[in-house]
This record gives sequence, structure tokens and C-alpha cells, in this order.
Amino acid sequence: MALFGQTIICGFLMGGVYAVIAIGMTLILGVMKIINIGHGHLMMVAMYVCFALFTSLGLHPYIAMFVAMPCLFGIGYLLQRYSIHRVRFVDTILPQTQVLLTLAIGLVFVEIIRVIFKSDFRSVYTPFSSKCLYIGDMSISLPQLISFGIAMAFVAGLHILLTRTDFGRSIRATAQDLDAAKYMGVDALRVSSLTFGLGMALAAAGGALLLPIFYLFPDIGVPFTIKALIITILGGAGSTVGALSGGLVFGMAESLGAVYWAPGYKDVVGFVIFLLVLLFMPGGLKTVIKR
Amino acid sequence: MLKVNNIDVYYGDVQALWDISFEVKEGEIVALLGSNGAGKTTTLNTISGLLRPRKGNIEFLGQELTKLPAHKMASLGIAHVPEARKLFPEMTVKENLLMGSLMPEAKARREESMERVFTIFPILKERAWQAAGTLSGGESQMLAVGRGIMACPKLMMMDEPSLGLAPFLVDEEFKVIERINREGITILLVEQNVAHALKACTRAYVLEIGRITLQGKGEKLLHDKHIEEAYLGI
Amino acid sequence: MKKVKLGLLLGLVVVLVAAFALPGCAPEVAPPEEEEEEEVPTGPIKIGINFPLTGAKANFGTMDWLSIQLAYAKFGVEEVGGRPIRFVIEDNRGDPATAKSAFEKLATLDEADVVLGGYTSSCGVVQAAAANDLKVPFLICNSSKDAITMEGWEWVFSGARVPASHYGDNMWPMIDEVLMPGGVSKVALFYEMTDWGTSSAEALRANFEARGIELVYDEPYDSDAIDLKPMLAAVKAAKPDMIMAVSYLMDASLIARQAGELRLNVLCFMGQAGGYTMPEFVVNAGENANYILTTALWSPFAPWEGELAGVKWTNQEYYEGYLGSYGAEPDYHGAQGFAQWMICLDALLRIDAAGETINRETIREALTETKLMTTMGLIEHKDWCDDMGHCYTNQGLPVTYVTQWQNLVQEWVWPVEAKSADYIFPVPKWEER
Repeated sequence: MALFGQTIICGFLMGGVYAVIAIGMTLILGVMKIINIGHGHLMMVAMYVCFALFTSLGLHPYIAMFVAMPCLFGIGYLLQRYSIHRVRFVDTILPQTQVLLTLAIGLVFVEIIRVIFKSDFRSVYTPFSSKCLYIGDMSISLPQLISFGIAMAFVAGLHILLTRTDFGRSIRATAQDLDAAKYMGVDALRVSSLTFGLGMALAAAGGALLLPIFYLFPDIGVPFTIKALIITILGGAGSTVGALSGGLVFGMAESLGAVYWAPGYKDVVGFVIFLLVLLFMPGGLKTVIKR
Repeated sequence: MLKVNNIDVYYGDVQALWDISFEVKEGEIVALLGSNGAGKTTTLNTISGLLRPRKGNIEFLGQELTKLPAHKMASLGIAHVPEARKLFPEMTVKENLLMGSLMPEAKARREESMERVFTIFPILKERAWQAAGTLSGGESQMLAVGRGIMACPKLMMMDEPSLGLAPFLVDEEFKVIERINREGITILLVEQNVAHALKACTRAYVLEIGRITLQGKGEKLLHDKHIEEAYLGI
Repeated sequence: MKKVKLGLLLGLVVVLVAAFALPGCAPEVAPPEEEEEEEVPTGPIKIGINFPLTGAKANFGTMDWLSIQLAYAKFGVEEVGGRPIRFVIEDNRGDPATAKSAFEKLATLDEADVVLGGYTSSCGVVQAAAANDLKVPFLICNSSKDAITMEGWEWVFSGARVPASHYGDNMWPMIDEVLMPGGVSKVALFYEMTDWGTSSAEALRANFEARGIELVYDEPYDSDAIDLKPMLAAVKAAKPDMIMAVSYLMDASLIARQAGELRLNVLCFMGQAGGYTMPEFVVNAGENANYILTTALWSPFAPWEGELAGVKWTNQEYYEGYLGSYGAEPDYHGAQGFAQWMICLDALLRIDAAGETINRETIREALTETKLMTTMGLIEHKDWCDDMGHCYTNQGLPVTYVTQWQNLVQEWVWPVEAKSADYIFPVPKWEER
């Protein structure tokens, strides 16, 4: 029983952080109709921003996050406005040029970071990193609990932004019908640039929340891009509720898989979900939740 | 108010409109008639800025439109109620209406406009929290028009508002159009339903394969021989 | 290099012209010229360097290469038999495909006389295979996958590398003499899912079972996992007396931290070299590192010393030299790199002392006779079989150790003769630390 409880706690807490990372990808997919393959790589950049602030100024990632998020927002905004968007008009034999471009941008960032910080593993370890609450035989990692709390606050904040403000509604409208949004006076380029920035800022938040409990090296991005993609497919494109539930389900599945199946096949669990959703629930969880 | 001067429009290399000119004056209901594929929607999309004319120009209240991006039209006071409604299906009825009033002037009068829309279309008030994608055809059309009203436009361009509606709803629809017009909105109406449109409109232009072939007062055209044969089936 | 070749070519052309122009003199002129062509060495002795110097694996690839350079500077031998030593450097980025093509380039285009490489097992495997195909002597630095020296490849030499299944050789006496009498009878074994992890686990499993120790948990895990707590919770539920873990650096740190969070109490936690021995481990795991035992391939305290090329050296000196030159502590990877150059240099010097020409064939022959004291202890390239039925070719066997983290310092606790501190066993419970 303690084992089951512990497994669920681990999966749930991790799932919350996954959700924040994935929600950025789902937003970008919704509005721009492209999968941002560079998502994890840009998250990595944010983690290094936090890491640098930790080593130089001693700022905890929970605080450094509020520097990393605007940085990544800016990077995302400029990338979409002056790079990704323009490729739309370039004639090329390659399919999905914009998707490939996000990959290329991501890889460029990996190498830049590698030049600055080298390939070494880094982590932000403070005595606080190992603090735990204990319920009977089960332990709840305090930094993970806080990360989860902050993650949920961001998800809630984003949900309010998307449903209660004109800007948020414009994002959703652009995702649902681009031409109609233009008729309403929505500047689609501005919205997509801001959305890309917002998505990157959320990825930055996810990265910052991971930093106290995980570690860091320049190639850390790829598995997170894959996880975010699986969660996006699982949750359904462009849906915060979908990404949140997708993140929690995915975290739980990984955790249960590691305990009751085999810890060596965590990734397989993800891919099985990926396939099953594509085959049997192509709209993702969002379609199930809506109905 | 709106002047379209000698425009030629192409889809790639294929010409769709030839030397189209017409005018809409303040307070009018102007109908742009024609059969499927005559170029009516193309004309509206060109005014909206989604398409660019190769030749000619378009003026709205003395301002040149052809250089402006599509999303600027709303701020000039042009509302486009598009063909096939183009609602935001995953947003609620209320949210769709709010999307209609993004421009500062419209936003300032948001509450008032919303009341106005709910007075014209009481059913929308009942459905306010329902996703637009779940509305019936008639309700969707009301929402599309309602969303146009929310913009407090000077000119409303309506693309096939009666398309796909049951006959009794078509009558309703035209009553609404006339009502909106009486309340001070100039209307440019694109229609296949020639009989209804001619009865409602001040003036009309007939488009045939990309060219304007006839124009005149609504009543007069209603009795035009060519119109009778080609569109009214008399 | 190009100039030498050009000169040689010009010389030959002159001889040839002379041979035709002066038929009477030709027989007298030609023979010494021809002899010189064989005798005159073909430029410098070329040492191919094939390591990941950039990319994700660059940290240890670079440590290897820096240690080789440290050894090169230490022994000061810049030419052998009148031929200068020259390094030809290829960065393989830790990618096996690149490592293979880099090896082929070194072998054919650069005409390297010997290649030093072999970091990451995956790269070492392809490099060794290429070496044997192209008949170029290849010295391994770190690659630990057993099979690399089990193929009977005569051009491949272990250097100071340790086959993964022998990482723990010196742990077993400690288990027999200390841990089992102290109450260890149930072991949880988990290992990262890599070549190194699985071949280590295979040997560990066999040895535990031979001692009648029950394996209550035995699973590979994904070393990229973000959260290892689910696995550790399952380990905890299996109630082992001892944990045996095969992990790389950051997963080792995560495991130590998360084992602490879960209060995963055991009599002892034994790591299999890899991450648990590295200086970065304690940085990332903090006080959770304390009391963790680990097998180790190298100790800066090991009393190894000797003389090569007339220069006296000690193991401790390498450690201090590296720390002084590069501002970071070396670990066993670096010690293996230092030893790699010693072994290579020793072979070159022996060939020269025997009055032979240095080429691929003579280097290969010299390496089969390597018997040299290094920073990794005595390395002797031999063919031998172990009790698991693994038969190795040209494989040395460095001494291994057991260390324990005590107050955030890695102390050598076994064998007792090379200890820096006494072992602590059983370890205190997490709650009581």
C-alpha cells in the first residue's frame, strides 16, 4: 500500500511539472499549427539562465525563474516574428519547413550553451533540495511539492488569461479559425509571436521548476521535447485542461510503469500511450473531457 | 462610403475579377448578386484585405484600403460576417460575441452592444454559455451576425447570410438585416437568394463570371427581364 | 611533412635520371639510395587521437586527452629513433559512426602508427573492430564493455582499461570478509540500461548467486529518467540488506538524493564505480553521498610509482599535476589516459632500444609484451580466461578498490593495505544522520 501510494505521489508531482512544459507546446501547436521541436532545447536555455543566476548571485531557481521567463519570452517572440514566420513564404522542397527550423534553432542553442558552459553536468543542490514531508512510510519531496504548486499556479493563470482576457481569447480564436480572427481585427502575426513567447516562457518555468530536483547538461532538451509532444497529443492541441490532465496521466503512467513493470522501459510507456492515443483517441483527452 | 474602383483580382495566375467597380453609400443596403462562382465572395475578401487587387483601388471613407493588412479593417469600422459563418467553434457564444468587439471603440460599448444583440436574438442569450460548435444552423447564423453587430461597424459586409437556412428563417434573416440597417449600419450584402435580396436592398449589382453585368435600384431590377429569366426562374 | 615527401620524390627522380643518363655509374649510385629509402623513416611517428572532445561526452574525452598530454610533457620524450612524435587529433563527438570514420581517416589518410582512443564503450567497440580490419594497433583508454577484448583481435590492446565484469573484483573479498558476516543476505541490484550496465550486472548477479545471496530486486533502469523514486520505492518494498547499483554520474546523484528522501535504509549501499566514484558525485548528491561504498578503479592514494624514459613518477604526482594544471580533480578516466600514454611510450622506447624500425607491426609486437607499472598499477597485456568463461586477448587487469564517502570525502577503505580510512558498516539509518 505504501508502495502504491508512493508511486502515485511521485507520478502526480512529476506530472504537474510536465504539464507546464507541455502546455507551451500545445499552445504553439494550436495557434501556429506547428510542432516546436526545439521546445526542450529552449527550456534547457532557460535552465542555464537560472543556473547562471544561482552560481553568480545565489538566486534560487524559484526566483531566477522570473528572470528566465521574460528572457525566453523575448527569445520566443523574436524567433517567431523574424524567423519562423518568414519561412512560411519561402519556396522549398522540404515539407514542414517551419518545424525543421524550430529543430535547427534548438540545435544552435545547444551548441551555444555548450560553448559557454561546456558539456559538464550541473545541478543546483541546496540542503533544501532533499527536504521531505513524511506521511507514514511515504515521503513527499518538499521541492517537488513546491514545484507542483507553482506549476499549478501557472496553469491556472494561463487558463484565466485564455478565457477571461481579450488577448487570451484572441489566441484561442486564432487557433480555431485564422481568417475569422483576422476579420475580428486580430493581428495574427502579433498573436502568434506573443504565443510563441508565452509558450517559451512556460517552458522556461517548467525548466526552472525541474532544476532543484534534477540536473542539467546541454543535451537535456530532447527527452523533454518528446514528453511534451506525447502529452500534447494525449491532451489534444491547444487545450490547457487537456495538457494538464495529459501531464498528470503521463507522469502517473511513467511512475506506475517503473514500479509495476520495469524501470528500464519508462520511455516505452510513453510511446505506448502515444500510439494508443493516435489510434483510438485522435482528439486527445480534451475531446473526452468536453463531452 | 465604400468605393471600389476598377479592380482586377487573381488567384495565382487565374483571373477571378475583371474591372469591378461599385459604390456603397451611407445608410444603404447594397446587394451583390450572382450565382455560385460569380466572384461575390472574392470581392468581399478583396475588400477585407485577404486578397489584393492587381489593378484598381478601394476606398473606405476616403481612405485607401488596398495597402492595409486584413486585421486593420475592423478598426476602420468594417465588419465582415463571413460565408459559412466562421465562428470559433470551441468558444462559447458569449466569447464569440466578445471576439467581435476587440477594437477600442467597440470595446467601450461592449455591454450595450451585447444587450442589443440579445434583444435582436433572444435565443443567443439562452445559449450564452454553450460552445458555438454545438449551435444549430440558424443559431450559428444569428451568432455570426451578432458578432458583426458587436463591432459597432459603420459598414457590415454579409456573405450569404441566408445560405442553408430553412425558408421561414430566411424571412427572419432579412427582417434582421433591415432592422440593423435602420439602426444605422450600412450593409453590403452578397446573396444567391436574388428575390429576397432585391426586395430588401436599396441598390444592387449583378456579378456574372467576374464582371458586373447589371446594376440599378432593387425594385427596378426585380422586374428586369434578364434577372427574371436567369435568377428568378419566371 | 609534405616537404620531406617532396624532397624524397625529387631525390628519386634525380637518381632515376642519373640512372639513365649515366649508365656506367648507375649501379654504384642506385643501391645506397635505395637502401636509404628503406632506412630513412617516413617522417614523424604519428599517434592518432580519437576521443570525444566536443559534444555530450566531451567531459571525460577531454580528461583523457589532457591526461595524455600531461604524461607526454611529464616524460619529455619528443622523439624516438630520431623521429619526432606527432599527435593527429580527431574529435569523434562520442558518436560511434563518427568514431569509426575518424579511425578510418587516421588509419588511411593520416597513416597513423598507433591510435589511442576508447572512451565510451560504444565508440570503443567500433574503433577496435576498425583497428583489426585496417591492421593498426589500437590502445583502449576507458571503454569497459567486456566483449571488446574478447574477439581475439590481435591489433587491439586493453591498456589500463578494466573489463566491466571485473570492476568489482576487489569488492568480493570485502563482501566475504565483512558484509556477509555482518548480516547481508538479500541484495537489490539495479543498473543503467547500457552496455556497461548490463555486462556489469551479469557478473555481479553470478557472483552474488554463487555466494548464496538472494537477489530480491534485479532490474535495469533508464539512466535519463527524471524521477527514480518509483524504482527506489519498489526497491524499498523488496526489503534488501544491501543495494548494489551500477550508475553513471547524474543518475547516481539522483539515486543518492532520492534514496535519502525515501529513507531507503539498508546495511550498506554499494555503487559499482561509474558515477559513484566521481568528484562531481558529491557535489550533486550533497550529504546524501555519505556512507555510500563504491568499487573504484583508481585511487590517488595507491602507492604506484616507477621510472619511465629515465623519469621517476608517482601516482600521487599525477593527481596533483592534473589538479594543478587544469584546476579540477581527475578520476579514473584520467588515470587511465595517463597510463595509456605510458604504455604507448614504453612500447616505442622498447622498439627503438631493440634497434628496430618503428611501424605498425613492430608496435603491435611490442604491445603484446607490455608489462609496465602505471598510474593504474601493473599492466600486463596477456591472453587469459576468467571464471565466468570470458576469454580475453591482450588484456591487462588493474587492481580495483572499494571506497566510501565519509564526511563528503572519498576514503579508500579496501583493500586494507591501500586504505585511507576505516570502513563504516553497517551504515546509520537516514533518520539518524
